[in-house]
Amino acid sequence: MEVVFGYPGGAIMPVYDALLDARFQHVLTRHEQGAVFAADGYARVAGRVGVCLATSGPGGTNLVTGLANAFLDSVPMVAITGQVPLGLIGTDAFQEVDMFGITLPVVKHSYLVSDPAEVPDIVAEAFRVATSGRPGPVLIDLPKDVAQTDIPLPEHPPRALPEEPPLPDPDLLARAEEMIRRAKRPLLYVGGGVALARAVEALRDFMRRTGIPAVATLKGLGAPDPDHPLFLGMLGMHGTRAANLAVQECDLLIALGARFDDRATGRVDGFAPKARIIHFDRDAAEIGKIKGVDLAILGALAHALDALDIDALPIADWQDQVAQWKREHAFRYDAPGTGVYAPHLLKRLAEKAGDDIIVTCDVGQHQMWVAQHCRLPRPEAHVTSGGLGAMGFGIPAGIGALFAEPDATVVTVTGDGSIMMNIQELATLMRYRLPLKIVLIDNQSLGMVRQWQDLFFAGKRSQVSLADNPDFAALARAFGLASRTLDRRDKVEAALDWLLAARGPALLHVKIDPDENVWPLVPPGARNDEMLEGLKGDAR
Amino acid sequence: MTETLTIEIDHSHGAALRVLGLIERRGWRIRAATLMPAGNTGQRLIVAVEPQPWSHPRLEVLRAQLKRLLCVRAIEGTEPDMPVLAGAPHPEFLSENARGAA
Repeated sequence: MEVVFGYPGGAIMPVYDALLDARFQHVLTRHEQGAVFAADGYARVAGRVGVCLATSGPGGTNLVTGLANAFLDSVPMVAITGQVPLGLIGTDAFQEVDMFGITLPVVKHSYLVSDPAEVPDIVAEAFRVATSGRPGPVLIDLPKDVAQTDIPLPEHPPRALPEEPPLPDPDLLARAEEMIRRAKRPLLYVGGGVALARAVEALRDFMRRTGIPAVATLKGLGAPDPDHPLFLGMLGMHGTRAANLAVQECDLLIALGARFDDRATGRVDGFAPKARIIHFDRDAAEIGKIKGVDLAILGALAHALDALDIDALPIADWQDQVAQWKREHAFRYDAPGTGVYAPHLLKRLAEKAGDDIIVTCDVGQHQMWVAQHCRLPRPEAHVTSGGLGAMGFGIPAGIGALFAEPDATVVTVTGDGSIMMNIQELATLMRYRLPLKIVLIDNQSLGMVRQWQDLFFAGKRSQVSLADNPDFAALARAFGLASRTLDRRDKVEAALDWLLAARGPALLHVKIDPDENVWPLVPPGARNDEMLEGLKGDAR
Repeated sequence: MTETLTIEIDHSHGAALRVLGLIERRGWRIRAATLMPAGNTGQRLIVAVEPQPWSHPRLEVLRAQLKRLLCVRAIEGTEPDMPVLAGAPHPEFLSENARGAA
């Protein structure tokens, strides 16, 4: 840990006093939610524990959304909150909220510290728990009087090394080999667990060796080589047609660190209906949670993939079929008109930034366009709020990413709805002179909600217009960022070049057609092969 | 159908609350619960549960979810780190897929 993100206040003041002598950096955000999302972005990119601090009461409750985000996306995090002194707990004291209770559903573990002598062990255990097994957030609620008590520092501070995962059962691996060899149409279903298990290289090697095609979840993107001819992109609600067809037709689905989330599966009884399923995971509680499987293999994923003694499989017909789907259903970028077509802009952005790119996303249509159209060279290149879908994540996550990898090209792709949920963090960018590149896709509405109202609520639009947005370019300048507005397709290349060359924080305000939609889309309750490709009369 | 779980937990702050909250959150109704001391360092929680009418949770999955909790030391009838569904196909699971997308 080199950096913590936080915001001071009454009950956490003893900790902030001690921070003056700390050997790590404290980053002051402008809202506690900014701090917890920044810690999350830092953790995802650095592959280390993200740490955030807040005071009791409102400081702590402002962390809750970020803890839920880290919990659902399995991000290692330690959050330390101040609490009222022990003697005041339970009295409705000033800024007293039961943080332990309010966070119980969204933490991996939590502590209310009542004995100052326990602090070193609890902190060490919190770091170990956050990183061991399936990672997650841990809360330490620290009453002010406990924090104010001096304790002798232990001569040998407790270590916080994560536990190693168990090795998978060789008999089960042999059974998996047999199932894979017998399959005529095998498919890899890659989830975020592949990166968490540090099994990206093992996966890529396995794909090269065996020739098995792959699809990825939102959080699995970046794990398969994006340039592999048999990588079909994202599956599910906004997945590619090729990916969803492959899942429907495969006869063996090999789930790797994926959790059969409803956005990935669509209607569960129509998901991979012809397939037997092998599920590799670190977490026994994911086995059979949503869909029954034929074989479950728990433990170290990289070891499991390396141990599978399988070379090139005789599945040429299947490989040809998926390659044909991939060709036939490739995304098109020849949208009519002269306005900016966001999918094309995002595709070009990723191409220009190359392997150095890290995209942190907000939530909505632009988030799905990033997943569909940006080339993501590694899992750390894609920082997105997958499970929680928390608007406001993008900019603070970009701040965290820049502290983790200061030399990367870190781009936040946000929307005009999302950016206003943590707009105050532009001040944090300026304070630390962080060269974050913000692409604001502005359709003057809550586009994803508007799209669903158009499709599934008879076109009745309810509370989705943001036509009275502020002047975003001027707003960015007021914070001190460089900014430009883009509204013509023939200026896209120059605008992206300007953004990527900017030395400091910069915002590109991109105005797009308010009626642009995300396609394909699998309607709720439908099978993945029942995806919609466009509206009647829609250009695409 | 009512199932009874006997769960050995430690004395950490909120341990019983953590276990009972998880059970309710994961689609089960708690019909009865008894908490008693067990040894010098632990407690035993006996809980009778049944699925909520709108839910289709699996007891094996609930056991695995409970075992993830640091405060849970053992659950009667569960082997440590046992793969929940390893082995032959489970016809019951393969035919049962009541969950629709939200």
